Amino acid sequence: MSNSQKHMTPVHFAKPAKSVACWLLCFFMGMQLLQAQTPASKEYKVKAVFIYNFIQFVDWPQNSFASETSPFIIGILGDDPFGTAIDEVVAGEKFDRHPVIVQRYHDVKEIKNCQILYLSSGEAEHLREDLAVLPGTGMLTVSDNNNFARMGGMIRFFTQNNKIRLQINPDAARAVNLIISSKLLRVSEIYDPNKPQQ
Amino acid sequence: MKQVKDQRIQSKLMRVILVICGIVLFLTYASYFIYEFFTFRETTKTQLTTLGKIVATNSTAALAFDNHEDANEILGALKAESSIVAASLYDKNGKLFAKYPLSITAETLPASPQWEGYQTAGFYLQGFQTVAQNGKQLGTLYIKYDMGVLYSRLRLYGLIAFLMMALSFSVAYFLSRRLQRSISEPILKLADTARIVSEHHDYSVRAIKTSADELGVLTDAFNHMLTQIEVQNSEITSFSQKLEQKVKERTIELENANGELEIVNDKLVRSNSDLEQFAYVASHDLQEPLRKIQIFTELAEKSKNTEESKNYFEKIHASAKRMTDLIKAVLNYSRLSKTGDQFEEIDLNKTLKNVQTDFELLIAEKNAVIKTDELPVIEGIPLQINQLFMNLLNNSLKFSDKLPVITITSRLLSENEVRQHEFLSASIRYVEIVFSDNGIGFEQQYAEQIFTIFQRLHDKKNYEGTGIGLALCKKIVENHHGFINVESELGKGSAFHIYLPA
Repeated sequence: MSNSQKHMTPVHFAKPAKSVACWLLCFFMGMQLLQAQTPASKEYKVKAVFIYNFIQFVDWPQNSFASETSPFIIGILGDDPFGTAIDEVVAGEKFDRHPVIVQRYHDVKEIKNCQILYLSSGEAEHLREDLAVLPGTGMLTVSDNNNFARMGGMIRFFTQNNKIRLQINPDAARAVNLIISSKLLRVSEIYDPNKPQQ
Repeated sequence: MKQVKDQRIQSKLMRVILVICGIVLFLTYASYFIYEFFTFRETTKTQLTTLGKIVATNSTAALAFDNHEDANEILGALKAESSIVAASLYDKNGKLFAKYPLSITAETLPASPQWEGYQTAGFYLQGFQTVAQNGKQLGTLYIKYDMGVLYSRLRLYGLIAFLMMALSFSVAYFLSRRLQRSISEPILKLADTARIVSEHHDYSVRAIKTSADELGVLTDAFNHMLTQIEVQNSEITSFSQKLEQKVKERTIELENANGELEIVNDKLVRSNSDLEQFAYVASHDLQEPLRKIQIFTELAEKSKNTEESKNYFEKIHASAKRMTDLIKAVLNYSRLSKTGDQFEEIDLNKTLKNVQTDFELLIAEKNAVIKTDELPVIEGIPLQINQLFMNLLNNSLKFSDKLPVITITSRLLSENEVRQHEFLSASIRYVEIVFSDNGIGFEQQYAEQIFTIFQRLHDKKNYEGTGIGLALCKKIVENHHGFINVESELGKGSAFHIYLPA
């Protein structure tokens, strides 16, 4: 329920023509999500924590931030599967002097400056395009999509033995001047382009 | 005795050395143990903290991304430190996240993080450390460390310390046995010497000086004391010997004086008895002429006849003369008692010649024959010797009933003869002069009596005389430290033997 409320907020920026469709879509999807996500909500709570934890295991270049006090933005592109979970996680948290905030985007073009971007599964069809248009520098991309790493994404969530695991493409991160901590790499599966995906 | 003494001082020294050695060793080891214990504990704490930090740092991602396998794997690395018996990770909410070893049950681990840092509890060192990434706490690490290593190490140290102490003790024992001799031996020697001195009173022994330290000084002082005692002892001994010698000398002198006194006493006794006898005899003999004078004076008074009274007066005269003779003789005798006269050399031949000259008339009257040997020269009082010869010759001329033949001989007595003679001193040579005659003689039993004053063997009518002559002779011979005796036989004559020092 609170999920649907949260969904309303980014909608302010939507165009009137599209908004109806969006609304409808959102509604259906929301209904769908509500049904589908009820068991998965715990999964996304964990993922929300994981996303927050990425902050500590990545070396952020100084030029990722406009100023010393400008916020550390966690962006969510497309459908938001986290609900309020991620907001609760980051509430009041700071990275150095950067307050951590969550921003939700419906369109890749809205994204200007964000440090971590979660691309929801709804973006699956145009994920490759999305990734291509992203400003790039200093942005860590995260998704649940199976082919995310192969498409140039950096961190992919996947489930193994009922546990959420990470697949990381360190080359992709390095390409945008992000250095993922070896500790994080240790607990993750490293993407090998030569190895066929399951 | 010596053995006991030995043991006492030596064991004292040994005990002191060993006790000091033991205390020093004990303190050394004890401080080492304490230092080791605390150092080990602190070092272990530091090491554990470091190790914990490494584990915590490595386990951040596992905690952050909920990777139990990875966390267990990281904790599993603690296997390298065998003393870590348990370890666990707790997540941000204090829930057990991972454990080491995997087989351990959750009940034996703390249910949740409790304190920060490491503490000892019993044989274990355990504590909690925050697991954080960039200042964000992700969880807590717990490590339990078994200090058994420390205790087993301390046990090993204890064993080594015990062995070292035993070794040190035996080395100290043997060393001190040798080294303490340098102190105990001079003392024992000194004590030994002192014992010999006190037991045998032998002050000639000396302690042997073995070192130049205080004991050497003591030994020197002791020896010096002994020397002084010895010197004083010998002085005392010689002094007492001298004293003894003096006492002996004095005793001998006293004995001599005593002997002399006895002799003098004898003389006194004799002269006293002589005097008593003299007094008795004198009163008797001197009274006789006096009585005659009294009687004849009375008779002459009563007589009318001048012829008769003339006769009486003659008799009175004769008695008075006799009395004068007697008094003269007594005076003579008494004069002999005084011994003031000096001894001088006397040629007896000359003396005899003089006496013969004095008696010329009497010899001629009696037609006497006098035969003489060559006589010796002796030391004597000339007047007395003259008197002696006069009296003896007179005696021989007087007591004769036929033509007198008088023989005078002399000879030197041999030492043997002197020794056999009871009245002569064995250390002096004597000459024997014999006056023998062929006179009336007397019975040998009177041989002593005739030398007594006023003793007469024959009646006055036939043989006149005072009764003093032979007593005088005896006195004169005794004055010359000689001896006179007589051999006689009635009717055959007498032989007077005079012994005088040659």
